[in-house]
Amino acid sequence: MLTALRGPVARVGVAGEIDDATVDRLVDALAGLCQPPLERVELDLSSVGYLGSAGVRALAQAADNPAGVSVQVVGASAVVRRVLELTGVDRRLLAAGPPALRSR
Amino acid sequence: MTWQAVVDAGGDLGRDLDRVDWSATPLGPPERWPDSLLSVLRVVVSSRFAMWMAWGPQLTFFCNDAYRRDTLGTKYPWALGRPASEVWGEIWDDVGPRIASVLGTGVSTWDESLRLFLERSGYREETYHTFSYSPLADESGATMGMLCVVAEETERVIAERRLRTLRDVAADLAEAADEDEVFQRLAATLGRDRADLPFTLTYLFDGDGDGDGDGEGQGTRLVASTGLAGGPQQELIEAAASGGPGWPLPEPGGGPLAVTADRFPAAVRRLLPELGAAAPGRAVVLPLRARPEVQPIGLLVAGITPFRPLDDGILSFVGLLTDQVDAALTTVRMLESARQRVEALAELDRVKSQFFANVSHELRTPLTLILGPLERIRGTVTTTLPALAPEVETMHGNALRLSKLVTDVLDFSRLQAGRLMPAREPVDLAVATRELAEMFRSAIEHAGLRYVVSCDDVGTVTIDASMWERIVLNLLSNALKFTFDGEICVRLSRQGTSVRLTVEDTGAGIPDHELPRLFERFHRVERSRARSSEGSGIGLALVSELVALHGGQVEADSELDVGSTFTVTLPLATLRAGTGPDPAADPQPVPPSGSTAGRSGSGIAPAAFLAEVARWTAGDERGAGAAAAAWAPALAVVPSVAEAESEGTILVVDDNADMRAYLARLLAPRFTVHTAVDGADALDQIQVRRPDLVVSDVMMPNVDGVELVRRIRSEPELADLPVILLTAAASTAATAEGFDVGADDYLVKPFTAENLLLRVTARIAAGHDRRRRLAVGDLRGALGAVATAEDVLGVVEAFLRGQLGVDISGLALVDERTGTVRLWHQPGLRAGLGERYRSGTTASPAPAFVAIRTSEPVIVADRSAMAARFPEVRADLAAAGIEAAAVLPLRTATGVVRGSLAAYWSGPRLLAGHEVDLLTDAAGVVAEAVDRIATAAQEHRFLVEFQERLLEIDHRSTEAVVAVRYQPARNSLVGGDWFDVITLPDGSVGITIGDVVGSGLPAATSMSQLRSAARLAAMAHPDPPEVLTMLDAFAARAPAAYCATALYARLQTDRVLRWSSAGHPPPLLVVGAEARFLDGGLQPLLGFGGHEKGSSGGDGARSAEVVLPPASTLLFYTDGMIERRGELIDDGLQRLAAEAVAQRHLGLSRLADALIAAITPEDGLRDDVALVALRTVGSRPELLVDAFRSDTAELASARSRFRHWLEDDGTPPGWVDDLVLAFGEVIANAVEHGNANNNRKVIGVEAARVHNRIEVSVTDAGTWLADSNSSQRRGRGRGFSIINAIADSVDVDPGRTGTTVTFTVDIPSVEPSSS
Repeated sequence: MLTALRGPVARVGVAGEIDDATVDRLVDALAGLCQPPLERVELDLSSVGYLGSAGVRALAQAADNPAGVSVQVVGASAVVRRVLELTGVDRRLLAAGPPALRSR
Repeated sequence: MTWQAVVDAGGDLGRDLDRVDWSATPLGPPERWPDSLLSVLRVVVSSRFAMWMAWGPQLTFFCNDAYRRDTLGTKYPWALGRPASEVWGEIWDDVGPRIASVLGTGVSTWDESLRLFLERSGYREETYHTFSYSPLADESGATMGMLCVVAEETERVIAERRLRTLRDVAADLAEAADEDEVFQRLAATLGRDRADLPFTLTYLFDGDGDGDGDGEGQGTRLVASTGLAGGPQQELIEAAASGGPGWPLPEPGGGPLAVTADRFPAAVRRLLPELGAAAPGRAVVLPLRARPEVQPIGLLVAGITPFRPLDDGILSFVGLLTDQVDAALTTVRMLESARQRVEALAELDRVKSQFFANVSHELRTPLTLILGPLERIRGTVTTTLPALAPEVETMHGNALRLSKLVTDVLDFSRLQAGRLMPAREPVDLAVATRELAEMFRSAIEHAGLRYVVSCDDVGTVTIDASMWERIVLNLLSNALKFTFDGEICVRLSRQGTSVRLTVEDTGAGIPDHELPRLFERFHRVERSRARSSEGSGIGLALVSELVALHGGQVEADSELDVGSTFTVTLPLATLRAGTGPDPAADPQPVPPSGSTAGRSGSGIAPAAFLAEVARWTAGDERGAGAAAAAWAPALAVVPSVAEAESEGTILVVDDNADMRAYLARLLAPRFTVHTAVDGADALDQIQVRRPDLVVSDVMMPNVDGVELVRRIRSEPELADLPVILLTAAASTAATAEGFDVGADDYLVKPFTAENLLLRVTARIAAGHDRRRRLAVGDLRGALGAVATAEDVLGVVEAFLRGQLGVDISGLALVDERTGTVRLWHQPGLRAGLGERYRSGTTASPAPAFVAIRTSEPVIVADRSAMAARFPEVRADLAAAGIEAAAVLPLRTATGVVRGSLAAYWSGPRLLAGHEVDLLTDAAGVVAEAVDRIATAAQEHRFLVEFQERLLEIDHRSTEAVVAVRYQPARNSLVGGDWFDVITLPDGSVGITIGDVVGSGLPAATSMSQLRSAARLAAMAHPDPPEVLTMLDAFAARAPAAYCATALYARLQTDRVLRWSSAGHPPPLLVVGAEARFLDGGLQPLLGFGGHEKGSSGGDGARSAEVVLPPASTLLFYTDGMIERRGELIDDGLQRLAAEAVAQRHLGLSRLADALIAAITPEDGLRDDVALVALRTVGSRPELLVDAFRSDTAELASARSRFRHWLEDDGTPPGWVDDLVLAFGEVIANAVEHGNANNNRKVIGVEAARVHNRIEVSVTDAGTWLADSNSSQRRGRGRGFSIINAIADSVDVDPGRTGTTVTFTVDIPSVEPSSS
């Protein structure tokens, strides 16, 4: 997992397969990230080969973090995009347009 | 040969050898070692057979990888390079001398299964080894060391030992006659072999006081113990009695509970030191159950040997041991209840006899005081009060008759008790017999019969004269009673070495079917014609017993309507044997009662007989004058009895007004009487109001008595109305006409008032009896079909309302397990009382409970009596509107009170005797029904529990996917089929399937035992024929398992299937579209022997084997799958094969269901069916079979295998991703929810390609229904939105052994599969 920080925005690259066996690591990492003073976490999932519902739930929970840090998926493989669409969280998590860093 | 070559040959072990600092050992650095040492070392380290060796002055230790794995344990790698005496210090006493002998003599040693206690696992471990020590020489030929080739056999030896113990326990317990003996035998057997269980303690709960089965609130008894008997055991017993077992208790319904020594009861801890090193540090506590009871009845505590690990093997051993005890307890409890039933019946019989004897004895004194004065009055009455003479005669005759009956009964009960001995004296039998016979001459000839008496001289014999008198008189009076014309003939003669007396008549004869019971006590032959219906049913039984006392026998020969011949044969030898009773037989012989009045033949006995027969023939001699005298005394007019107390309604029919009035007066005190003036009038009245009895004169104008009877009988609804005819005709022919048309009885005028009342009472009672029998019979029929207490009450309520006008009916039943009483009322109780009186205890004060507590009927006729008797609940009774009650205990045949039956009335109600009888009979029938329902419920619970146990298989292998099915035959929960699937220590799968004879409880018990034995045998032996041999030995000792079929197969991790079959149908193997039956490996049926090695000719055919291709399907089944009535077995086999091929694309679970559905007729199976279906893992283009441990870490590789299978056959990439996505969700659910993350369980996967469709089934070991609550809470079914979105269909099948989720995806572009 690669993390790049630019001001209040963190960009996180995730690779591999996210299932029940590996999801805890993603949950822990996101919980650690979604803290002030960060305002937004951008997730690049374009190298994820499998995303199960456990992973989708982890993303949805992270997006509901108490600190109000915004969580956005800025890159998604076809598989990831398909899952997010099927579970109906795509509109909430998937950033519109091409992955790009936007500063305030 | 170089050291490096040795290191290379040894792999990991070689590297460890290389790390040893050899220069510090006496052998020095390896570079300087002799070639001989290096050569042998290389052989040792490269061998896959376990070996160790020692070399040099200190016997430096080497070993290979197999030895390290099997035997060395934690001593590796420390042991390498150490002196052997240090490595094996703990067993040096055993092995040292052997090694010394090898080194000294150069001769090899050989030890088979030697027990050694090794310290290799952190504790002293009991192990077994077969090994040989051989000498090793250097180049010079000098012995420099030794080589040990060893096979560790610990698992085999210990498994065999456990099986032997189990078999001994099963066999020993099977012979126990009662519960005490079960525990004695258990202690004896377990005491003999204490290697696994150094101590055991068995406790019984004496009734569970608070009913929750936890063993509290009750007494606990220590009933068997082993191992700890050397100490002050009294302490254990007392501890158990006062404070319960003191052990932690297993969860209800849970398995064995392991307990460490710190939680042992103090009394046990104090005794442990006696066991020394063998003192267990852990024990296992298991509940004992005597099925069909569900609650534990006791505990078995087994101390586990400290020399073995507490592993699955020993847990299943203790579990199976408990099963054997459970089975034995079930059996003895069943036997015990059967024995109690028999004893209760015998006791009832004894009490009855005793009662008759007591009553009879008490009657003798007053009778004597009546007879004495009566004799005096009789002597003077003809001169002083001639008008009363006939009454006095009647009194006298009846007193004599009563006296005779009393004497008969008394003698008979003495005979039964063995207290009546013949008082023998010399008698001239011909003279005595003739005298007795002549006494009957006048009576017989008076009745118009010929009488022949012929007595040959048979000399003087020693015989009890009064007994002989009774024999002759009984036979004669019997002959006269049933003979109406022709003759009676008495003959005494000598036949060889016997004396024979025959009494022959030309009377009514005896129906053939009655002959066998003729001499039974109280048995009365039903005959159409007799001079009297009187009789106790004792006469002939007494004759038979008296004759037997003299060593003889009596026989009857008879033809209906032709006559009867009774033959008494007495052997002369015994008649001349002595003159008195055998003093040794009874110190105080009691003479027969009849003889106390005198021996001369003029005592009570002959007089009573004569008086009796005189009355039978009395009608012949009394004239009209005497008849007038019989009713001349004018009776005061008595008002008819009050309706409630009336015993019945009688219609008196006579054209003579005086006679009508007389009869009415006579009957009015006890009956409701109506009168009619002739037959026609009677018929009119009967139409309006049916009486209980008609008493009619014969000679009447218009419709006479005979015609009246004929017309009554022709009306179907009146056919059973009893009619007594009064006739003046003295001839038997006239009365015969009355009987012919269907009169029930007749009285010849003149008759005595008593006689009339007697007959009328008897008829009315018989009518009540018949109606009661019919009503109770109907009730029994109606209750035959009901299955619940509520339904019983529904039926009973209708019955009581109809028969007795009951307003509220109640049923109370005792719950055997809790001791509480549950109540039902119909219609419900008013004023909210139904809620309060829904349950209670037998201590409660209300009538329904009192009847149960006292086991006596509670009958209360009105409000004031009710208030007096039940003061505590009088207000409730009043509120419920209950004024009168009759509550009867429901007592079963074994005397257990199961509850009470209540009848309540809202007004006063006085019950007549016959109504109480009706209620009593009804209560008996209800008790039967309730008992039947309770027993059926118990059996049902047990059989359901058994079925569930049958389906509990132990499948943890990832070599195959397994599905099992058991389908009972219709009308039964369990047949004789059984199966088991277990995972063996080396990862193989063991499959057993079998069929025992029978069904229901007995079959379930023997199956359960056989299944246990098979499980253990499979653990002990890798070889299928050996498993069957052990099973055969077990079956030979268990009668119920005799002639059973069984098949055992073992699927190894290399996909080799080996099997052996004891007469069981062959397994079916389906690979792709090819099916074949796996014949071979056949052996005889179980219990016949012949399973031993070499008994099938040593041709190696005792088992067969085959390598199963990947993703092949194997079916094990019982004969119900292939047998159909009127069809060849081959046809059934072909049908099964065809069906299995046609449905091969189905997941295993669906395949099993489809196969069973295919052979099940609409009305259910005739025979039960068991099916074990198995698929080996692997993939073929059309089928993927996979299995993996239930662990999230396995998910990724399972997805990967699935993905590869899809891709290999060209599934388009987009579809592959979607399918993997759906599959990933299903298997994640299976791990998390189905198996609750238990990684000892296994997930099975099957994916099939059929044309354009991919069908995927995933099976876990859980049930979705059972965990629905927690599943919903934790979001089971998560990801189903993904699955539903991708799949064309999704199906969840929550089976009893696991849940199968099946989904299908249709892919238009996939090429049709070639298979």
